[in-house]
Amino acid sequence: MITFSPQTKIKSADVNQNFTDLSTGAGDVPNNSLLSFRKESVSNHVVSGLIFGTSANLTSAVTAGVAVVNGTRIAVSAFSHAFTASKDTYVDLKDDGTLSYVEVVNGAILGMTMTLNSDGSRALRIAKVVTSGTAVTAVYQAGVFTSASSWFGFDPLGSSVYNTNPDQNLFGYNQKVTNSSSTAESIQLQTSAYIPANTPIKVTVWSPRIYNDVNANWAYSTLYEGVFGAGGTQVSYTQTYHPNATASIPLNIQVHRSPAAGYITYSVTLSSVAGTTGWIIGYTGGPFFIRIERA
Amino acid sequence: MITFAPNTRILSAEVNQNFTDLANGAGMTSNNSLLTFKKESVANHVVTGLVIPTSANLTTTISSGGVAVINGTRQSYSSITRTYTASKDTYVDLKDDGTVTYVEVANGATSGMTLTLNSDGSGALRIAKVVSSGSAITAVYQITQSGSAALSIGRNTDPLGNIIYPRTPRMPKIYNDYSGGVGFTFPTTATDIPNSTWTFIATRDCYLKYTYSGQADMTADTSTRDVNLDFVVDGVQVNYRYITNNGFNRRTVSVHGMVFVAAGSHVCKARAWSASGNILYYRMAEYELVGER
Repeated sequence: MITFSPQTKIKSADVNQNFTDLSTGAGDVPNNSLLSFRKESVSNHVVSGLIFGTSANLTSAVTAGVAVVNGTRIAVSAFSHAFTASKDTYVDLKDDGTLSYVEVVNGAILGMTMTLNSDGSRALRIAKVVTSGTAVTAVYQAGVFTSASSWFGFDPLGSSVYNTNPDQNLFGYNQKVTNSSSTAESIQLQTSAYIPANTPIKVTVWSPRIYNDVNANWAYSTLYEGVFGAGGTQVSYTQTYHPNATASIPLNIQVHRSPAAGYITYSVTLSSVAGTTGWIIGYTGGPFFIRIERA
Repeated sequence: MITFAPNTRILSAEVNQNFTDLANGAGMTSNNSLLTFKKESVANHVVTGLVIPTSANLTTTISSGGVAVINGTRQSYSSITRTYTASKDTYVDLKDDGTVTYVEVANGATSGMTLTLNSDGSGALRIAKVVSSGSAITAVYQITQSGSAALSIGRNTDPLGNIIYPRTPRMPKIYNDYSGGVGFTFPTTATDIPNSTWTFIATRDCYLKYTYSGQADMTADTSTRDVNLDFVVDGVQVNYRYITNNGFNRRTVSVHGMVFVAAGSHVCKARAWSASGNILYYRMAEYELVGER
């Protein structure tokens, strides 16, 4: 903003510059800056559109849309992109309006590192696009809960995909729709999440049934902050003892935590008395899930 | 915004126009427009007031000072006095141009209360359901009214699923809860648990988080009896829980889950049944649905 001195001629260019700076927000003080408010208090999110289509070849058509990334409103025109064959490609939208394509091998659970904006903040991950040798075979965006996929809205590193919530409350989710069984303690389900600074969270683990398949024996399930067997710390625990399998109870663990900002993994284990087998049930109409959300 | 050319006189009226456009937002770029941001990312909501009292006759007044945000636009209201039509359920909608629309249906109607639209096709803000008898305003349903019957039956939406009197600009976009005792004799086939059926409109794609818990009370029956509980969204079972008493005549049960729902109208419900047809009871303690965009 240009401050005009008394008794001097005011240049039209300077007047124009001040009006432009107020119009774009460049002249706003931080307390009155919409950009600063969104940067600091509103999560990256898709406002509308940006839907990727599957395709019989490797080129996907993308609808026009609007997103807010690092506080900046980005309007994107419709476009097409030719994807690399036989890859899982994560599509990230940066705050300068450019797109980054992060390629990993099909089915990879590592390497899909989130693209960063120039100031070090995170871009907005808007899609996971899966290719075969010749076609775009699947796209994971909003609506993934109807899919049989096990990552449900988040990549394996815990970055949300196609988040439409400016006040994001859901940070991580994973589920199993198959049964789990174990005697020695082992991980049955885990998810990662990116937790913003100073953000208390609630972790919920639920399954329709946990039991021991031998009458009058115990089954145990434990929630770890971190990875069990790799430095994870036990934060909750449940055990069940019932006359037989049909008298089982739901697995229901809920804890509040305050982890440091950054990526974090929560893992769920199952174990039982030696010589017996513990079970945690999960199926399409009754999934075994773990959810991380803002407390 | 007016751009001034060099070496020409700048008219005060044009300077004033630019300042006005900056003050009311008309001159802002899309990225710096508070109105655009609120339109796109903030839900319609009541900021304060707009509470409608009941009345011994058909006339009631909303006190001045009410504020709401509709389609991104902040509207403030002077007192609003209205004489309602007798023997009607009237839904009160606020539009983004500051006008109020009254949608009348027959008492107890379950259809016809279509949400009013703003001129750009977006939805207005529904702030109340006002029920009149032949001579009085007998009930007003607004979420935050203490003692409102709307709370006791856990319905925060009209029968079409439009949320009434949302108070939060943050999510949830949809919300329903029920807490109380329900005596429920289990039939042999899957049957809706009382107070569990809910229609809602997701204004955008969202995650629907649900939980319900209660107690299956098999009275003095100590033999092996079964209880089935499930949760259904748009006719599709998304969760299920089976328990048996095995000599325990009372068992608690809770169901938690999450499902994706696309923008639009949806119906969800909890059901229960006992295939063996025993006399069993389910006492619901809590039922909650939260939509997360």
